[in-house]
Parts: sequence; C-alpha cells; structure tokens
Amino acid sequence: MNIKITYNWLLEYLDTDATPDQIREYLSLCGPSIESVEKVGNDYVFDIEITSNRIDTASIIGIAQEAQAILPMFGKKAKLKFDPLKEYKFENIAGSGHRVVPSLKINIVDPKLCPRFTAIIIENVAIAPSPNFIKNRLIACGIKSINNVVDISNYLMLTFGQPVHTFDYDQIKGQTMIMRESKKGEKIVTLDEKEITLPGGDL
Amino acid sequence: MDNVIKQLKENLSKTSSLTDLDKIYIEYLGRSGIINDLISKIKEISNEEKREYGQKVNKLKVSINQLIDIKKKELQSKKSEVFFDNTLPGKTYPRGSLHIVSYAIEEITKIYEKIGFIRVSYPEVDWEYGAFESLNMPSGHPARDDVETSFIDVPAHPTFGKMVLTPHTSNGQNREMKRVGKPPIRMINISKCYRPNWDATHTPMFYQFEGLCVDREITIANLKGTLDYFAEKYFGKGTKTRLRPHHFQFTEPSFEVDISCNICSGKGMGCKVCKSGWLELGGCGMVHPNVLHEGGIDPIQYTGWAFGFGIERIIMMKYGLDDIRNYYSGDIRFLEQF
Repeated sequence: MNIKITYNWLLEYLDTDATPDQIREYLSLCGPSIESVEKVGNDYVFDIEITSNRIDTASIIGIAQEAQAILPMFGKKAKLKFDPLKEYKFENIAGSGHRVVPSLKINIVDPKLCPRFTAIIIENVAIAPSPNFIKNRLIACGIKSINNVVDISNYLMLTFGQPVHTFDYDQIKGQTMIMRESKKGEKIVTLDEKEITLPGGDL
Repeated sequence: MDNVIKQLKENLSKTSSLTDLDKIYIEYLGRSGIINDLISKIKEISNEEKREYGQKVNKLKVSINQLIDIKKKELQSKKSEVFFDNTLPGKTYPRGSLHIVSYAIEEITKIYEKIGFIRVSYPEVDWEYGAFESLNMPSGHPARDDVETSFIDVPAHPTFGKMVLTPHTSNGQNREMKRVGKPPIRMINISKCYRPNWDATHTPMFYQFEGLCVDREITIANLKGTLDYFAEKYFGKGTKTRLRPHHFQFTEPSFEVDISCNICSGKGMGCKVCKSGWLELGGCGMVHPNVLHEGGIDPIQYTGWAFGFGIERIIMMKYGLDDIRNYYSGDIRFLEQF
C-alpha cells in the first residue's frame, strides 16, 4: 500500500533541518521506502510505500515518528513539535465544554471484532466546499476533495492514521450503530455508487 | 543382349539433360534395372553355360557404364559452357537462437552451481497451501491481497484449498524442505509465475528465481555474502549490494536488495537508469520460523534465508532495457540481439 503526504504538512508536526531529498534517502534506507519526491507548488509530495506490518506509519504522525528515530542517525535534527496525545486531549479542545451522553446507541455484537467504537455527534453542520488549504493538500496527496464533511475525515485519517467515517445522523435507523459481520449475500452500495454483494464475514 | 546395347545407344542419343541420364542409369544399372534382371536369370541357365553367360553380362555392364559415362561427360562439358564460380559463398539461411530468458536461466544456474546450490523445479500450478498457508499466510490474511493471484476454476482440494497459478516461486520452499527432510538445503528454484499486470515492467507471465538455504547457524551475513557473490558474477566486478528493511510474511526480518548501478558506477547524479546510484533487485530475508516449522524443520536448531528475484528484471538491469513486454512480443529484431 502506498500513501502520499507533503513536506510542509509533515513540518507541522516535525521539527527538522533535513531537506525533502534527505528525508527520502534516509527514511528509505532504514524504514518506509519513499519511492518519489515531487515538487508541487511550493511543497513536496512524498510517495511512500507502507508495508503491511507497519500500518502505524501510514500517516503524517507515523512518518514524523519514524523520522524522529531515523534522521538523527544521519546527523540530522528531527523532533516531534508536540505530543499529539497530550495536545489533542478532550479538555484542550473543548475547553470548559463537557462530555454529553449522546443520543446514539452503539451495539458491538462481538467485542473480538472491535474492542472500541468511538463516535461523536456534530450538530449544526452546513455542507460546503472545504477551505483551500485542506483541498490543496488532499489533491496533492491523491485524494479527491468532495465537501467539508468528507474532506475532514480524509484529512484526519492522513494526519493520524486513524480511519474516520461520517454518517448523517438523521439517516441512521433507530439512532443505533451496530458493529457486526456481514451476512452472506448482503448488498451494500459504496461511495462510488457501486453495488457490492458481500461474501459474508466481512467487518 | 545385343539389342540392349542398341536400345541404349538410341536412348542416349535422345537424352539432353543430366537428369534424364540419371533415369537411364537407373533403368539399366539400378537395383531393379536390366542388368540386375539379367544377373538374376542366371539361375535358369544350365551349369555349362553359366560361365559364358556371366562373362557376357559383365561385359555388357561395362559397356553400358562406358556409354553412359561418355554421354555424361558430353552433357557436363556442354553445361559448363555457362560460367559457374564454385568459390562463391552459399546461400545463408536464417538461424535461430535461444531466448534471452533461457540464456539468463542458464547463467544463473551456473553461478549458483559453483557454490553448491541445486537447481530444482516445482509446479507452476499449485494449491493455495503451497502459495500461501505454508508461507505463513493463513486464509483470510491481508498479506494475500498484496499478491494478486489467478485461481483455476476446478473443485478445491479438501486440505490444500483452491488451485492457483503460482504468483511467486516461494511455493518451492515448503516442497523442497519436505523433499530434503533434513537440512542442509541449498536450492535455486526457477519457474514461471503469474500475476495479472501488463506494463513496461510487468507481464502477466514472468520468471522468478528463488534461493533457499537452511542449515545450522545460517545468518544474515551468509545471505549478504551470497548476494554479493551473485551481483559480482552476474552484473560484473565491483557491483555492490545493500539491504533495506522491508516486510514479507514468509521472512523475518525481511529486506529489499539494491545493487549499485553499473551504468554510472553508483554515482547516481543525472544517471538515466538508476537516478540514485542504486537499482532495486528484489526481496529477501531470514526464513520465518513458521515456514520452517510447516516444512517439518525445527526452527530452534536450524535457520535459513531465502530470496526471490525476477529474471526479466535482472536482464533489464544488466542490459539497460526499458520494456519487459519486448521479451514476449516475438519481435525477431529484438530477440536476435542476444
């Protein structure tokens, strides 16, 4: 699997004096293979091969952590600018806000399939195009910009490596989300409007 | 018998070509010609006359020979009135040659033969067990998706699963371990592989060669040494190799192997072929304990390494070719260069 990330985006999380080409060379020698560096506008796009045992590196944060471990071995400075686990704590974002028990039921049929299912409800959403900086980064990274709701989930996934999916709350049947394996022959329609018949046992 | 000579003279006078003369020769002196016919009649002759009869037939044979010879010379002298230079070279006919891949297979086999690796051959059509399960990829494992595999539309084997066209030569690992039983194992498995790709660096059918070495105290140093040896022998003196960490399900740790570029001597700057001084050769690593175990080998006593490289790819790297599809397009102009 390959992901694309940009140099400037990486620099938001990583403090380094390595040039894009040095990052490509040194990381490829010790960790994830960076297959190419391409200049796009005033930014550089890395095309990175992620091996299936290192899915944790499939994001900006993941690559920043790799860089922090690898670049100093080549005499380059590399340090995470902040600890995202501390920085993005609920209290830090919501300020004086507090957790509300949402009116959404979550039903995990088998905890082995998914030990944790996290959801939030965002109200007063107006669907619109994304701001340009998000649009441009997504396009540079090979992801189609659709609208603010879809784009933000892709943007977060690329930043943190955690897939996020957005649902229309009003469309959720009984306001309950069920986590289960598919039944054989069940049909779903994907985002690109293809109907797929499931073989059963899919998550 | 007198008649025979008379008839012959008449025939000869009508003859104007060497081909016709050959026919006459056969008619008189051939296996079932007139002379042989006369000789076989000797049985019917009484004993007293036999001697005389024999002599007569012999005389006749000599005269016929002479007459034909004279005629032959006459015709040949006529023919040579047209100038013929028999020192001219003959016609050249197109000559076939071995395919570029056949040459490479031979070369690789010889290189490894010298360090004790035996060339083996295992099926191109195998069960899922050989292609995946035995290589630490149980059914449903996501790593299976990395290799797009063609399945054959026949009923599945109760224990070994569906029938596949092998997507790599590693299916030989388990088979070789089971064949040998007890290490040491040193094998080179060269075979066709199948993946549904078609571009400048991929064809749906391609060749891989797989090295496997299992014994006591085999380490990465042995792997690196073997790769260095191969690189120097195949790509030329001074070729270096380097290992980069990677991931394969059947080796741990796993590496990708690069060789230094011979076109720019590893400098990389502005080199059209490598761009960085290094060219990617393929994958390798230390055989995963699960794979050894599945092959009936105790992973505590024994360790091993394995690699798998594409033959089309190494040919491409050696000669600086840019499109693998040429190998199989059947264009003589391309193929005759090797």
